[in-house]
Amino acid sequence: MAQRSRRTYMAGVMVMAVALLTTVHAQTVISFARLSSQAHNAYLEPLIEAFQAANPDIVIENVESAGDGYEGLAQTALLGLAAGTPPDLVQVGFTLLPTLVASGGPIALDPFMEASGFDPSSLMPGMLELGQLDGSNYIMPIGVSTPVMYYNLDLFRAAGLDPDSPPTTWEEARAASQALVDAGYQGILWGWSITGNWLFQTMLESAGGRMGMDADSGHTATFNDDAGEQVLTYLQSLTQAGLMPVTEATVQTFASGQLGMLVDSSFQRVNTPAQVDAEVRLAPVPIPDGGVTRLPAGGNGVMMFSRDQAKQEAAWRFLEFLAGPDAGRIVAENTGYTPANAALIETLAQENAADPDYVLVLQQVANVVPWHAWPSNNGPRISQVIKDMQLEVLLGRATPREALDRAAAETNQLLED
Amino acid sequence: MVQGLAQQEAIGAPASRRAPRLRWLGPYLLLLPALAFIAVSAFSPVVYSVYLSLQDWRLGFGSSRIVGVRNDVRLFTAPDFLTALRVTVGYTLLTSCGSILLGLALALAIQHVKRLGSVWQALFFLPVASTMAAMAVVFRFMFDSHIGVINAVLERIGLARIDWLNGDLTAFAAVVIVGIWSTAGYAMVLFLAGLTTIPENLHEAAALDGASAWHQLRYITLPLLTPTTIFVVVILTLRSLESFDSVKVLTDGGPLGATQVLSHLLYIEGFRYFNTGYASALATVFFVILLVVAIVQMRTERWVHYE
Amino acid sequence: MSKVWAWLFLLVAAAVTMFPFLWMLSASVMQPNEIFRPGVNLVSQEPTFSNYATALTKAPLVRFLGNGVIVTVAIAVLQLAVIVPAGYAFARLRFRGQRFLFLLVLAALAVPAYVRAIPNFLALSSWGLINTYPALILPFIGSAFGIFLMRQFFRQLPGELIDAAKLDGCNTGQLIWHVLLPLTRPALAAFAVFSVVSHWNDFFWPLVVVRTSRMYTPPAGIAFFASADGGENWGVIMAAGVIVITPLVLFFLVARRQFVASLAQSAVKG
Repeated sequence: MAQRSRRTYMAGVMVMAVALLTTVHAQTVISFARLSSQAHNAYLEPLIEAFQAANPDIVIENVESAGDGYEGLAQTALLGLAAGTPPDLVQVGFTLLPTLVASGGPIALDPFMEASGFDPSSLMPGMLELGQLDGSNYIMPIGVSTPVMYYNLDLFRAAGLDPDSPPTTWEEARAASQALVDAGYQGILWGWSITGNWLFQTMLESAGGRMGMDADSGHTATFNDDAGEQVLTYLQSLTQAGLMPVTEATVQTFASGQLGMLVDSSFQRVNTPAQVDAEVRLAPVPIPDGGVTRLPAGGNGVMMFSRDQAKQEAAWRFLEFLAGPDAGRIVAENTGYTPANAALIETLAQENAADPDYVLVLQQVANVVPWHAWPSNNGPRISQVIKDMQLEVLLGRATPREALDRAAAETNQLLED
Repeated sequence: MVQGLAQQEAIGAPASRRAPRLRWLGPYLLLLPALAFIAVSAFSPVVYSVYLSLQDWRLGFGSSRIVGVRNDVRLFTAPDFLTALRVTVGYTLLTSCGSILLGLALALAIQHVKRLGSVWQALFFLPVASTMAAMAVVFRFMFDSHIGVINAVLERIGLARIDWLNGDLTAFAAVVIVGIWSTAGYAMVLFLAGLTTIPENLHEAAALDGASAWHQLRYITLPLLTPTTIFVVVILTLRSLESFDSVKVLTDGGPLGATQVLSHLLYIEGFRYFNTGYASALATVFFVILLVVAIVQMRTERWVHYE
Repeated sequence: MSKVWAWLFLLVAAAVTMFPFLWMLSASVMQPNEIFRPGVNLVSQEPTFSNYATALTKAPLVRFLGNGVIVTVAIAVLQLAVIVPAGYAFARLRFRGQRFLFLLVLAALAVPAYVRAIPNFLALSSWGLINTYPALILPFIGSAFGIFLMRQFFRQLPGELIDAAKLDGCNTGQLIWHVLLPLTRPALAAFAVFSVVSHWNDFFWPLVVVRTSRMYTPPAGIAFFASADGGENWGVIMAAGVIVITPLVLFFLVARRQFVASLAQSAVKG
């Protein structure tokens, strides 16, 4: 009798021990659909490692997309959704926000933010807005890029321009390009072909225009106003005078060492200068006379797609981590992105005061405006319409006014669909 | 499955005394595995595609509405589609004709020259074996107006630079050139295989009778090559019609749609705009076109003679 | 005389064909500042193999190549197993519905990859096969091109040979294995080459069904360095391209012997 009861007792203890051990080590596994390439692994892998080290009860399973940038990634998420097995977290480019939200996949982050006391002001103003739609937050930013101008000091000197005072206005940029072309080089390349009409928006807003506005009848295109005309007229005049090559190969053209100025993303802060055999520095993007500096934020962030409560909580912890200074530092050290954490930006600016290019990129974040996302399923298509519009004008196949009006009409129609 | 038949038939008994009842099953059993895989991986998608094209569905979205043939109607009136159709016809004709002729010429030349056969074959097959994703990038840079090597060469020999990728016609030419470059080797290999089935003695006999090389080509080689030629024409036409990687990387359908072939339009609608319902309608039409082309070409097999 | 023309033609064609590869090889040992330098510069001033080192270490390229071998060999072997009987049946047997069934095969030839993508993905997903080797292999086994090719070749074979074999008491199985296969070796080798090449270089389908970098196939190795958003290193991309293409070239050279050896035989027999 006594023996039996002792055995039962021991069995009971063992069962409890095992149960205790397994619950202590119980892990939540969440899947993270993310880009997988040399440039992006450079920050994503350390981020994931750091998070898992700090949170041993959560395991992140990678769902890697080697494909066509952010669209390929969205495709992976949507395919998973279609098959009933969406990933828990999805890395996303800001312009695909409306398309993804319309699919019903992403989960709004506001309840989680409230429950854990997340302080939105810990992020740079405007950063969180990048991931908002209809008043709800969907994206936690990882890093943000802004438009910036790269210029080749060797060519400047060869063309008789002062390397310490790069052009600050559109007209100065034109004059500098003329000098460069006269010296046998290429002038300036405005990155008009960057995805999502990023640069067009930059120029448009600096001239006082807006891509689209909400009106009573819904959202309408407003880029065909005077500001739009000013932008396209300026660009067309550059190409027709041979001051700007018409090409989408931005970095390669600059890497040839023949191009004086390139307006492109700050993401390549380190990479682009490294590809040229000359001294390269960064400068703010030139604005029109009497214009303002407005910089649409590029970059990416992470959304939550989980439906399961336990996984949602684990996913939220990762998102919270991304907003913190540790994550921010990893991003800043491994890429040209600017992290979202406001306090960190201050610190980084002080630490790197000797690198004016780095400081410039950090400071530009203060002028950030949302990258315009059309509230429609047809967002990507509209972006193509606007991109084609620019090409038409650059190639001289249409006048700015015609092209703008046609594109605006098509955009409005697509918005209604 | 072939084993099974063998066992049934084999117990010493000669073929003609096999159990006649099961004999008719033979051919179907031989076909079964292949057709089963084809049914699942090729046909059910077509059916599904037609089903999708009748809906307003977008990839991953929970709900969809049946919109009947609205997608098809939009399709036939969309300028995008009509332009793509025109571009595709032009591209396919030029690329497949170019590849076939070049492939045939190469095969004949290689046979004629007799030496270094394996070197020539490996060389001309290389484009086919290469990863188009990588080669298209190479071509993209070669054709670049400012930093491209093609323009540099043109300048060197005293000709004017060409703005390849910004002109409608020049971009189209570039895409066709890349198409022919990457496909001629395919035709060459098939033609070479076909040429070797033509018995040597026929040529010898003709030569003895005084026939010139040209005569031999026209009256012996080409006619006997006809089955191979038909095969090559069908396969290459379908391949050009479906070709996609080169266009995507070289021009991305540009400038402004000048090189947008149907397969590219399909990709954009389905995988960039996530407009799956509409893309499926496009895909269905595309499939029908391909099928018609294939059938028409096969029909010409009627007047082929086998040795 | 005509031989001279033929030689000339082949040499010119070879130069044009090889030029992009030469460019690629030369770019693979250059840094980006040299690659895009204006002018015709095929010979690097400061050649470096660092691009190759980067390509092999930064991306799991060797793993991708390994996957390429596994997937293409499995596909080719299974395809051959399936298309040889089918091709034979269409070529030499008579049965009801033959024309219709062949039409179906032809139709399958006409189905483009994008049409197949989503439905196949959904099916594989429901069977839990996403991100596995079967997902990369199964959809391709039913090769309409292969059936077409086999049918063509079987039809061209001399009928007397087959009748003679049948009279000797061969059943269909023995017929295929011992008599026909050796004769159609060139066709099988040709088909294997086309199949391996096309599936080795297929980037689209893996994009749809692969989820982790362990399972990617060779073209992904190239895309790895060509990310959107900037940060591409073109020298490394070219090096990756060279690494991915080389095995195929070697395979072609080896497989080619198959055509040549048996080609001579079959010509004489005819």
